[in-house]
Amino acid sequence: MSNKQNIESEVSWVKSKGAFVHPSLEFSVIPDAGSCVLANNDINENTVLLKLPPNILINKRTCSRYSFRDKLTSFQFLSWLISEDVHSNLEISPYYTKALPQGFSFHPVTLTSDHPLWSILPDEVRNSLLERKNVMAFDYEQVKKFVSVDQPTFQWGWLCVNTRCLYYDTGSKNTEDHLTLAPIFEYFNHSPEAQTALINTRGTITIKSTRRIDKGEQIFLCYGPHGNDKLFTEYGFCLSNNPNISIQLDRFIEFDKWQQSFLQDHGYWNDYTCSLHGASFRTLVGVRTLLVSPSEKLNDASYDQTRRVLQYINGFSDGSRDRQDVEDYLKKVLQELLCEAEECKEKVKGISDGSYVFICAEQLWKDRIMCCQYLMEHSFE
Amino acid sequence: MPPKFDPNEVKTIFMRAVGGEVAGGSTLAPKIGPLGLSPKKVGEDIAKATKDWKGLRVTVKLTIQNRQAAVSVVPSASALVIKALKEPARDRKKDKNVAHSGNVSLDEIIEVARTMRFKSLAKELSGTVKEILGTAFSVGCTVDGKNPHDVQKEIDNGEIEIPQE
Repeated sequence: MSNKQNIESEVSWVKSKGAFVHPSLEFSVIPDAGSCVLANNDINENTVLLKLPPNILINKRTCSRYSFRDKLTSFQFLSWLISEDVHSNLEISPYYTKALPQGFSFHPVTLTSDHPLWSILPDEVRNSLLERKNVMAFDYEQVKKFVSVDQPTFQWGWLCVNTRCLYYDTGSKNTEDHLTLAPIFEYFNHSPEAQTALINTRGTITIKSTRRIDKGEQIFLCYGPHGNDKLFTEYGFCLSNNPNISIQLDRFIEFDKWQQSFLQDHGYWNDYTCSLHGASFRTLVGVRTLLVSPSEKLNDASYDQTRRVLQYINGFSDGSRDRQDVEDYLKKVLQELLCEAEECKEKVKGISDGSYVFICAEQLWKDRIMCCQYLMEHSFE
Repeated sequence: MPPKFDPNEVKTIFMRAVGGEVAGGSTLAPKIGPLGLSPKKVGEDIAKATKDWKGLRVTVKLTIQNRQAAVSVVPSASALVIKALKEPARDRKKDKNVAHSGNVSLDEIIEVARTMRFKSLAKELSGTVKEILGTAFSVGCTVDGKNPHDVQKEIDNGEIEIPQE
């Protein structure tokens, strides 16, 4: 059966189980890029587009016949369930696994360290990819304790869950268990300017329109206010015009042990970012700490520069006296990042074979260039 | 972590602020500084969002996601009643322990009750109106020139009709 037919039979199946699917929704398949939902008629504001009752959701609560499910996290359990049922039909939702993507070659977690792209990804993206890989390996070990499943199939199931699970209160005390898979729901693509909102009450998942949708428009959901880095590592895509992009500066700023312990004591250690709205307060505190010299004096609250940083942290002053120095320092850092980004963007372009991962990697560097250039022309605060 | 629509990604902070005034950075900084938000900027945003509530103590809700804070005022019965009194703006530092001895019309009380309806557990709007009348009593004002308690009794006796919605 073709993908389109799979989706159609899934839709009619969920309808027969009591779900509501708005008649103006059209599910369509984009070749090699998954699926999307279009409006084949005008839809008014505040209309219920989709309503899924709890009995067709796939989560720990609805799949209760597996005795070991409580020993695994929701994530591990669902990954196994999906990979196990790929050959047979999923009891709870027979059409679900059929409509899943065949492979995940587009997803960056499948990149190996000998892939030409691996070494020219931004450091922080590579680190989070490594972390995701480790989590996946750990989940695989956990699942193997109870059932046997081969690694590639499990990886496929794990990625399915990673790219399509949503937050859902399963009634468990462990907050890590609060997720579910939902048929149909996953065809909605992400956009930061989505026309819809998700309402999650008493176990039922409802999607409502928040503004008028015209005929022919693609209907989006907003998965969360994520930047491209996160969208790329978790879901394997990037947006070309993402307003939520932010850049990590941690590896460009070096601290000595005095500065480190000062920042740790005040809760400002690590996570220094800039976005299109300026530098985050953490970054500004970090840079101000750097500017105190000599750094041993950070222990001495009566030292003039230290006192000024503390006043800034505690909100007693707006730090206008040191602002120029802070901006100069940040500009220097951004200049460094900009050079690296431009160089890497060219490198990615040079080895690109036109596939989607390369386009994404180029976009990640483009984001950095854009953000740096924007910030250098505007104020940081 | 991956789940879409993870509510844990959004942090909410409730705080009390005086409407229209820029809160001292020192009250904001320890709460929002480590989240990456500038106390000064958020303080100004709060002053802007509460400018309709000049001089009144209101509860403010900060919704923080992606290092951006959205400010909204949480309606509270006493603040709405005092607002309805339309007292002249005064210097908070000079006048202290103000007695709110003004008068509010019942229509305004019903309007306040409609705003507060979502918080009230009363079955009908008249129940919520009586709750607001209780607040009016504690604030110290009169309603239609009468003691709010008397108005509550009149509602119970059916002498005053309150609309259903």
